[in-house]
Amino acid sequence: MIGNPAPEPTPRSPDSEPDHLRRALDGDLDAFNGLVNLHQRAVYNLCFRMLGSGVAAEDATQDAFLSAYRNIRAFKGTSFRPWLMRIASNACVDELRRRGRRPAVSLDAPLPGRDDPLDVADPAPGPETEALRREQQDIVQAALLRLPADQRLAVVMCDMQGFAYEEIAEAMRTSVGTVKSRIARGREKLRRELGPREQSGIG
Amino acid sequence: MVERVNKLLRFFGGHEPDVNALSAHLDGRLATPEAARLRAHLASCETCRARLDGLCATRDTLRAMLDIEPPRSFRLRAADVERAQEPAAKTSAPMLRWAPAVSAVAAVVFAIVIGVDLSSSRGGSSYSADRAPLTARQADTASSTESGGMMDKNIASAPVPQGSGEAATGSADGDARGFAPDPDIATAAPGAVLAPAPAPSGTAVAAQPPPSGATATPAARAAIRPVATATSELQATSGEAAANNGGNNTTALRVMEIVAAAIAVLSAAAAVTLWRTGRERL
Repeated sequence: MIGNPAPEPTPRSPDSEPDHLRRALDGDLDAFNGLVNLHQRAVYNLCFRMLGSGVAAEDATQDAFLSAYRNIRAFKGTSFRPWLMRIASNACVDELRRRGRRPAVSLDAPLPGRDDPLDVADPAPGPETEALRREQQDIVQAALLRLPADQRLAVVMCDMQGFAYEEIAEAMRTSVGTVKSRIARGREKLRRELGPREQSGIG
Repeated sequence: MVERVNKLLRFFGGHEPDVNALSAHLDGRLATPEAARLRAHLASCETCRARLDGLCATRDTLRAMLDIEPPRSFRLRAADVERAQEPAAKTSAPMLRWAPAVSAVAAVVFAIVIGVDLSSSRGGSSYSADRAPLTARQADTASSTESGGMMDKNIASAPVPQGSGEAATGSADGDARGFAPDPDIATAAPGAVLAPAPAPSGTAVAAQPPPSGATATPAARAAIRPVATATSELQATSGEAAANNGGNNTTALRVMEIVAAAIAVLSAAAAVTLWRTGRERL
């Protein structure tokens, strides 16, 4: 269940993408689903890191792809992935706002919800290492959720998904300078939060 | 220069590292001269070195976070797409979309009513004739119909003939059309019946508040039956009826002021909410 380490989670610009994209722009659902196959992992992971819950991430991912399909004509750029990530992050922001309206869901929850897929994921290594590792993952995820959404998005895209500053700027519709400072502030807050514990954990 | 300032700062008890530069440096995103300067600084500044190490460790921790396998495929089915292509339901409350328009209309109503109120309390003596019988009835009706049934009827003074049918409806009618003269709305609005009063139109115009030369009347159902000849003349010429309120008719005006102001304030608040939620998108 648990896959590769984050930096290269999905193929960056697969050969099949331009073709899929061209046909998807004409409303070809099969072609669009080709794009879904290529990017769903990245989109789902972004949503999961932004929302901290598997169920919410699933909904946001679904919303994002639907919205992308519906608005595919609005895509004019050359690079599909940042555009898609922008839609995904907006789906996440919508969800966060919904939570803001009914504050039952606390963003400061120390651990991700019951539905956290990490609970299910349990491959090879020994139980102790695995428990430790999972705990570490939970701690980092909880710290991420305490960041302001814009910093969280920048940090997740940069450090966990391997996007370039320029792509993040495109996805966030802002300047590279702003992205740089959001990443810096996000990392700095995480550094303080994770601090010494982090040093003793994985790394 | 920076180096010297930093040295000085350290001498007086250390300095706060430039996290922005350190973080960018970590990603190799500093321009060459800046990077060189930072490296030189790092060589001599333990604080900044430690901070850089900390940021680096944090980044490594993030990079070591495991990718999560999506629980299912998100391929779209034709059914999903068809549903999605029906006119997209606007997010959140559709009522909010009208908030700015409702706010503007209510504010205009408020301004007109206030204007009438002021002019009638100042120049009240010019309305001496014939208004007393209407007063009580208008007050009652206005307070009971509240915003939904309340409307303003502007009768334009001679120079502006097209402004004859401005209608402003309350928030119950979401379809606020701004300020376009719309006699249809005026006649169709439920419970909004003109209250003709036999005051000579010349007097009415003279006593108008500046903006549109308009007189506001509260709805008065009782006045539906054809009345004075003066009124029929007016209807014949402009298709509208002019009416004005007497200086004693303050209760109705006050109620209208309060209602209009409340609508204006509430819908302005709604508009601001809408604007802010729109901005939350990253």
